[in-house]
Amino acid sequence: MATYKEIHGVNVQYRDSDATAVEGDVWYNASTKVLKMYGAAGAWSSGGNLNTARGHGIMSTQGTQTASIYSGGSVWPSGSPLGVTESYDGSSWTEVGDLNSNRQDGGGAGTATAALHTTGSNPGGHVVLCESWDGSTWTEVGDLNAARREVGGAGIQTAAILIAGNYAPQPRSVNTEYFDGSSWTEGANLNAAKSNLGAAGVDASAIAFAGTAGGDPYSLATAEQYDGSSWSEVADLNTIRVNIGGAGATGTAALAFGGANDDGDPQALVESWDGSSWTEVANLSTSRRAIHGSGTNTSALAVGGETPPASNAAEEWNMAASVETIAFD
Amino acid sequence: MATDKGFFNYWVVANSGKGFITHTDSRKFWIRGYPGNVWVCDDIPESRDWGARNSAATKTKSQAQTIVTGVIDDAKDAWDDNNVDGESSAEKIERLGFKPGDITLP
Repeated sequence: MATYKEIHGVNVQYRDSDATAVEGDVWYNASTKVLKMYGAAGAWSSGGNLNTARGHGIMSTQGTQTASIYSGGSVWPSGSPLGVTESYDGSSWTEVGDLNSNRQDGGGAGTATAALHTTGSNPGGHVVLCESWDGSTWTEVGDLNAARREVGGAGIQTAAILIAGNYAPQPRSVNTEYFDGSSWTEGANLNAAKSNLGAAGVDASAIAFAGTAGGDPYSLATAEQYDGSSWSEVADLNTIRVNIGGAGATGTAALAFGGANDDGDPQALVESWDGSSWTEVANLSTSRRAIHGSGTNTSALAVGGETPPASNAAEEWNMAASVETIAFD
Repeated sequence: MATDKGFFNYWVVANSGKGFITHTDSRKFWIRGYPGNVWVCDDIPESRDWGARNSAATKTKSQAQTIVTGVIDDAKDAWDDNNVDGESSAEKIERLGFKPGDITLP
């Protein structure tokens, strides 16, 4: 086994105190007699609970950990779509204006004060509806070209992407539509059809990951990245999942969390995407499927879902460098 | 702490929201939530402090497992009872997700 010195060219330093460090530093604190390191370690904490426990809604995907909305969805196992919208201020959720059309399994985009809620399904079937949020009221805006549900959503209110979707008996889709603030246009499609996927990013840089094509295995680990003009297959996640949550500012920095495995069992697994590979990071505290998120891969919010039954939990992700004690078993 | 729980503590407490589990908690000990407001933690002083801070009721592993199994059994019954005329089993899975599976606590 290589030693620390063989790898880094120096011995582990002895220090009397935890001096200012740079990421990756390892030292022995001679005063406290413990080995220390300075590294980036992510962790989840509890956020405020939703007022209505539910999954299958949509988040304002470009919202932040302290300002996001969660709209629509359904309470397992009723399957009845809701119009309820809740706004998060970093500590608690407040009910605000309902959607004009109750829906579940649509796609989301935008921020807490400028969002889109697109497609999904209501008791009448899949819809092409798109509603725009101004911070207090939902207003119907340009319809999509194709009705579908179980989609991925990314982008902002005036530049959004709705990715793939649909479920049996309708075939899964590769179809992707792009919104310019007034109308939806069909554009570059995914390479492989899927639904129940996760998505993150904006119209110039996005990523779509996991989901299902309805085959065997049911759940997928595949991912595709969008560069503003076309979708390309990129590295798979480490673990197959469906009904997964996502957050991320771009297609090269995202977080994938929760979801269900191939048997439908809710998962707590979290993976971080750096533009080239997925890395497993700290798990959610509660396994949930049909979970949704907003924020970035270093500061995210994971909301709702099903354990089952429906969950009202929200968790906050923070990745920050700090001094850690290295423990030995 | 004398325990029949192996390396874990088993608690029952509703998630109270912000502050229930902090980033510091998550960094200090492993914790996982299960249906029925059951929480399982590493059995270390910091996790016992967490349980006291949240007024969590301590349970044996067997008691905690019974609670989780009860909730999952209810969820299975709810899934079985939720049907649409003419719907195939595959379509039902698409609509509701897979039938909840058993959970075995660590």
